Amino acid sequence: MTRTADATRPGMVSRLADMNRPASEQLLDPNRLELAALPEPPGAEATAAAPFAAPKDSWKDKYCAFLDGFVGLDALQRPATEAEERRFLEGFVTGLRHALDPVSNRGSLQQLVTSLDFCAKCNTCSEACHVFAGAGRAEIYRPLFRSEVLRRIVRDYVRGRLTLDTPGSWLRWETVARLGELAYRCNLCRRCAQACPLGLDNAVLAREVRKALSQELGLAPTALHASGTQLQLRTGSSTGLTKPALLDTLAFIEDFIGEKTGRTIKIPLDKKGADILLIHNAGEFLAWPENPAAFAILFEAAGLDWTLCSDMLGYDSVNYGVWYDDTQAREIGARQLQAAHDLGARRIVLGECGHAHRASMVSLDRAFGAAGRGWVPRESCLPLLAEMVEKKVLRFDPARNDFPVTLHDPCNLVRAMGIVKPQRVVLRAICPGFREMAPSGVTNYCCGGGSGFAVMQSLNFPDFRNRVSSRMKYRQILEAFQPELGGAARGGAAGMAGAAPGGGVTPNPSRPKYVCAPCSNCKGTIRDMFDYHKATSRLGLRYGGLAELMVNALADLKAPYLDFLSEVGA
Amino acid sequence: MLLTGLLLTGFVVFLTGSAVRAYLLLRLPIHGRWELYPVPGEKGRAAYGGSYYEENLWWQRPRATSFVSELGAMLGEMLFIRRLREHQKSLWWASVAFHWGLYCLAGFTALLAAGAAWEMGWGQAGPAALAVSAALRTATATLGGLGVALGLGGTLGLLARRLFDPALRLYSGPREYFHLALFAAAYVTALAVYAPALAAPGGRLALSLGVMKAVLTLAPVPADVAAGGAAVAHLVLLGLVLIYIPLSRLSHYVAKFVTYHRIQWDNGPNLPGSRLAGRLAREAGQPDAPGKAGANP
Repeated sequence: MTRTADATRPGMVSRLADMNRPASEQLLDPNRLELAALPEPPGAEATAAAPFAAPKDSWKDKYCAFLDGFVGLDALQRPATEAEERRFLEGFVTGLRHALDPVSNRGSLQQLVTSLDFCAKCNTCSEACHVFAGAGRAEIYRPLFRSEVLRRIVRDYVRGRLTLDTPGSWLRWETVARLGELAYRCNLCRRCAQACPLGLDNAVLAREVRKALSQELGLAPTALHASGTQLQLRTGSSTGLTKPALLDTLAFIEDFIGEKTGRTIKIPLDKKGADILLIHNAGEFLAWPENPAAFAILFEAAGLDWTLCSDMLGYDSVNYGVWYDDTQAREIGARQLQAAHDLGARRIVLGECGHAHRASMVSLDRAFGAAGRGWVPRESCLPLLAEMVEKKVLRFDPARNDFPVTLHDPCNLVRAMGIVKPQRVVLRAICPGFREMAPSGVTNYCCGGGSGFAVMQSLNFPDFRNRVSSRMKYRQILEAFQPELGGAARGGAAGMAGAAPGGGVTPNPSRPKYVCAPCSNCKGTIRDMFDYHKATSRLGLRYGGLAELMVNALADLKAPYLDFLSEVGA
Repeated sequence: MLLTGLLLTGFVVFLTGSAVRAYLLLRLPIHGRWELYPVPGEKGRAAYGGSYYEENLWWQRPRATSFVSELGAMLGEMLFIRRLREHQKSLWWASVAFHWGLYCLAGFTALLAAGAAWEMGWGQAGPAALAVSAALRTATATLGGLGVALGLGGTLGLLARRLFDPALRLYSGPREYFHLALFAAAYVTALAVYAPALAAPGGRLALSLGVMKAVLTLAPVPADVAAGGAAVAHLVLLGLVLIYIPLSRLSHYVAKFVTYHRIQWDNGPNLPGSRLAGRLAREAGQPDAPGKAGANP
C-alpha cells in the first residue's frame, strides 16, 4: 500500500500505508484539522475554539485511539497477546469472506460487489461527504480512503492468496483496528452514493466493515449493541424502558396533556384490531414526551382508531441493528412485526424516527423472504399528518407558530425513502416563517448523528460528533436563520418582514428560531450540537419535532404548547 | 490473418465478455432495498425525489411509475455524466470528452461495418448506391475524426488530473495509469495512421474500410495496411483494448446498469402476491409465495 506522501499539510495523514503504522502513532491530531468555517453572526460570541482534548492515557492504553484520538468502537480493546492479535485479524478476514457469500449476505451482496470492484477512483464521492467537508478535507475522512483500505484487504486476503503467514503479508491488527474506528466516522448517509457517477456506495462498504467486526467478533459500540439492541431484546426497549415503566410514562403523558391543553385523553393501549398501531422511538417517551403527547392529541382530535402497544418490542420502533449487524436487525424487526401481528393492528404507523422508518419499511422489507398473508403494512406518520392539514381535519392557526422555522431532513426519510413533500405541506400551512435549508430534500446534509452517532455518548466520541460530523448541519442552520442572526439568507428564505438583509442585525436569543427535525436521533444530535455551541442561550435556536408544531398551531388551544414560547412570553 | 483474427477476437470478447459480466452481476441475489432517491421512475415525483411512501395507505394505491422518465435519466447519465458535472465539474470536462470519444468511435465502427457491407455486396449499381456509399463515408470519417479528437483530448485530460492533482494521485495506481496509457496509445497510433488524410481526405478511410471488409469476410487485412507500422500498431492496440475492457474495471458500463437500474432505482415493495414476492420466494427456495392464487396456504 505504499504511495508517495502528500506533504501539503504536515501532520495530516495522506497515505493509505499509514494505516499500518504501529499503535504508538496516532495518525491524525484533530487539533490540526482546519474545520469548516461557521457563519457565526457578527458581534456574537464566537463558538469557543477550544482545543480537542487529547485522549486520556488510560484510554490510549485500553482502546484504539490511534486513528484520530477519538474512540467510537469502545468494545474494541487492545489485544494483550500476539495470539489475540491473530484471532482478531483472522476473525475480520473471515467476516469479509462471509460478506462475499451469496447466502449469508444476500441482501447487500450486489451493492458490495459492485462497490468493491468498479471504483474509478475519481473522488467525486468525497465532494458530497459532510464529514470530509466539516473536517476541512482531512484525508482519512475521505470516503474513498476508507473504502480503498477495505478493497486492498479484500483483494489480498479474501480473494487473493495472502494469508497472515505468507511472506509479504502486510496486514496488522492496527490496520483493522483503525479501519474499524474509521467505519464509525461515517454516518452511512449515502450522500456519496448519490454523487457517485457509477452508483457505488461507500456507506455499504463502511457498514460491511462494521458487520464483519460485529457478526464475526462481537465488536460494536456499547451504545449500539450491549446497551442498544441487546438491551432492547432483553427489556423491550433500547432505552431500558420496561413495560411497567412505560405504563408510568404514559400516565405522566396523560397528565401532561391535561395540564397543557385541558383535554382529558386516555391513550389507547393494546387495543385489539385497531386501524393504527403507532410505534414511537422509545427515546421520545423519556427525552421528549411532548412528542408522543402531541401525537395523542392529534390522533384523538382527528378521531383516528389507534393504539400503542405495551408488548415486548411493540413500543420501541428503534432498530440499531440496521447500522452494524444484520442478525440483530432481523431479530428486532421480526419481533416488532410479531407484536403488531399479535395485536391484530391493520397497519403500523411509525412515529418521528428516521432510521426506524427505514428499518421497518425498507431495510427489512425483503429480509424475511416473500411477503405472505401475515404481512403487516407499515407507513410513515408524515403523510397522515399532512392529510390532517390538507383535508382540514383539524383547524390550525398559523399565527401561533409565527417564529422562524427551518426543516432538517432526516437522511433515512428523504434520501433512503423519498418522503419529502408531506412534512413541507404541513410546515407551509402552519408556519408562516418557514424557510428551507440549503441544500435540502434528498440532497440534505446528515445531522451528523446518523448511524448511531447520536446515541454514542461514551469516552470522547461526542467531541467528534458535536464538532466534526455535525458541523455542516450547524452551518446550514446558521445560514437558514441568517436574516435573524445577521447577514443575507441563502436557500430561498420565506419572506421575513422586518428582517434587515446584510449586517446590522443583532441576534435576539429571546426570539426563538425553530429547527424542525422529524427524527429522534436527529433531535438528539441537534440538542447536543446546540448545547456545545450554546446556540440556545446565545442565538435562541430551538429544535423539536413536527407533531409539536402542529399541536402548537391548533386553533382551539388556550396556551402555547411549546414550552419555550411560554418562557419567552410569546 | 493474425490482425484479422485479433480484431475479430476483440469484438467477440468485448461483446461476450460484457454479457458475461452483466450475467454475473445480475444473477447475484436481489438486493435488500438499497434504493436511493431521487428515483427517476417515480411518476410525478422524480423531480424532487419523492416516492410512493408519501401517500397515506400507499399499499392500497396503484404505483405510478414512468419508464420514459427512467430512460431519460439514464440517457442523461450516459451522455452527460450528470452526477460528475454536479459534484466535480473540474473533472467532468475531460471525462465527458473521453466518453463521447468512445461513443463517436462506436458509431464510427457501426457505420464502417455498414459501409463495408454496402460496398461489398448490396446495391452496387446506380447513382443512388454511390450516393449512399459516399454519404456513409463522410459520416464515418466525421465520426471517426471526432471520436479520436475527443477521446485523445479526454484521455490526456484525465491523465493530467491523475498526475497533477494530489488527491487523485494518491489513489491512482499502476492500473489507472495503464488504462489511460492504453487508450492514449490507441488514439495516438490512430492519428499517426490518419494524419496524412488531412492532405488526402477519404484516402485513409479506405484503409479502415479495407480492414473492416477483411474482418467481415475473415480475410487477411489489405497488404498496404499490413505493411504500415502505425497501422499495425493501431490495430494491435485496438484488438487488445477490446479484449481488455470487459475483463477489467473498465467494464463499469455494465456495473452502472446494475447499480442504477437494479439497485438505486429499484424501490419496489415486497407485497403479498406480487411478482417481487414470487421472485424472493424462488430465490429462497420457498414454495410459491403465500397469497398467490393456488399457492400453499
